[in-house]
Amino acid sequence: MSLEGVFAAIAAWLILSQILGLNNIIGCTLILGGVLLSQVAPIYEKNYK
Amino acid sequence: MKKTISLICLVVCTFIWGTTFIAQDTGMDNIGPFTFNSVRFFVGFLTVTPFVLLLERKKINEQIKAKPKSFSKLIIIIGVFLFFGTVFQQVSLLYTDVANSAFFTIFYVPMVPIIVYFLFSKKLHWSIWPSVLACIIGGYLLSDISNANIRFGDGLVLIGALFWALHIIYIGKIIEHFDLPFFIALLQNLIVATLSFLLAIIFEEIDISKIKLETFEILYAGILSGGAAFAFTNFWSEKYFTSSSSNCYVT
Repeated sequence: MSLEGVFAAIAAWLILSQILGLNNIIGCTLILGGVLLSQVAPIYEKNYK
Repeated sequence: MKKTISLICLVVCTFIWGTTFIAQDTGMDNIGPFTFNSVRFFVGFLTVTPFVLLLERKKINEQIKAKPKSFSKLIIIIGVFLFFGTVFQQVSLLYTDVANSAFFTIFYVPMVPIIVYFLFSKKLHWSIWPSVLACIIGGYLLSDISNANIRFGDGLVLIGALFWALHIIYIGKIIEHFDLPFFIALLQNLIVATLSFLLAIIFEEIDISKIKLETFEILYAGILSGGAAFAFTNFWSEKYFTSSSSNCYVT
């Protein structure tokens, strides 16, 4: 459930007008990608190999 | 079907947790972080109470009777880890932005297997290394190293994330032995509320009229996040996922 960061960032933008710069968004995407990889890869291997 | 229901439930929990960061941030407009955390988790404690009375009251004794020492040890560990996780996160919001706090908090996901490797020497999956690398580069881009406030706030979140990771690991352990998700949520909320209250007494002035100004934020974070989401995740993950995949979805 690592998507809580996405909900938080969108809500912060809408409600608190805390806006992220392009660099920050790339940073968030990298973190999310990394986190999802470490969550999904072990399960994927277990189920399909 | 059951998997679909539990997935929807977990997405709702994720939405609640994500938006709770806003409540945690605006909830400190009039009161300090320790007071907010204490009242929030006390509300969470009250929220879970009816569920414990209705669903688990009868089986508490029989579940704990076999291993009372192991239960009390685990519940104290879990409560203290959750206390440190929430307090570091709450204080961080005084210094950094909501998105930073939320994204640095999810660093706890790759921290979990690394801690498990050190504590229980369980083998690390190869995917942890690219994950850690992505998190470090991403963290560098998200944070603002030149801004002392942001730097300090983000540092606090990372320390908090370490405790979130430990909390998740030990939640897995206690749920494995004791089938009491609501009772566990109840006790951990009580421990966090009490310890935060001690900090509030020492470092903050507790003013009821000011706490009342934050009613909406406290109820949102306390009822939805502190109460429902914790209990639901424990409950659903345990019911509908095998133990190995539940850890994944809980995170």
